[in-house]
Amino acid sequence: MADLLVHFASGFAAGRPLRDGRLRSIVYVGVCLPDLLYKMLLYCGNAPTWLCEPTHTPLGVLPFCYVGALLFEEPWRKRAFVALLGGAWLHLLVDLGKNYMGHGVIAWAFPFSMHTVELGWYYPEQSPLLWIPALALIGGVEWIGRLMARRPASP
Amino acid sequence: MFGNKGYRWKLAAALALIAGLGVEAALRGEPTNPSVWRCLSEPPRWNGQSIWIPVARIVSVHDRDYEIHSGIVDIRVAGASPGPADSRVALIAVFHADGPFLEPLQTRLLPPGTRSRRLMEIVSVLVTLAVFANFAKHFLFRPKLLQAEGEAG
Repeated sequence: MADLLVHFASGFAAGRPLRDGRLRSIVYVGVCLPDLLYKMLLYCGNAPTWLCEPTHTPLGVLPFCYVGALLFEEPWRKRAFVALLGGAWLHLLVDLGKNYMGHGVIAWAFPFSMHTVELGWYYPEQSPLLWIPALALIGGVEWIGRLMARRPASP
Repeated sequence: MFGNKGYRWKLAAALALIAGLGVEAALRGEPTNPSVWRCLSEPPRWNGQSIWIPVARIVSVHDRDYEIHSGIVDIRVAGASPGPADSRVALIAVFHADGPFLEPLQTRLLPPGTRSRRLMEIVSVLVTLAVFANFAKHFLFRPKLLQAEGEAG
């Protein structure tokens, strides 16, 4: 949960163009979901770290999103699932940039392989350095969004 | 798949799958990167195993080695210490059963950052609260609002 502002900014950029505010709100939950699930299992469930790992794998997060989608009313479930999953995958994409000294961070093919990958762009404790770009991204996307909304529709 | 038919079965199956994936990850992940306490509990089994320690605290520094505290155990690391006692390090090292000790392959001194860590956590909690407040704004069941809409309609 160390850098949810950065994750939220990525989710905001992806979700802002969506017209439906309800769908947007689910994308924002989805983008926070992997960290929330991880911390919940780790601290509330006292689970070992490896047991929490599926929350940070592209396939492992699928059933979590499915359960999340089932909590919505029937007509909303499919959209909720796609929005949660889209947000969660975006989270994993941002996490992929972390540097764990070459050890790897995302088990991209779990449960078929335990091989982990990372891009090594930034160390986890350096994420506050990304706060200013993240806030700028949120501000920029919101500004563009409002400009687009103000523009008169073409005849 | 998303319908109400067999809702409880679908929910149960998804929860069982989550549990199964967790167990699978724990069973296959631990041998990939065992905890230091596990290596120390069965040294011959993990001899030569490369392990990644994301955070450890340097307990004491000696001429040819230093000791770190990782999780619930202390272990000796061969070579010069990257920092003074009480500093934090991340390591990728090979576990040797005779000693036992760690032979570092990569070492990184972590910034002290207790305050920045706390700030990061506070910001993350605030973001989470904002995200759920926004979600609740759209999805929270508000009978009074429905009642008012019903009366207006």
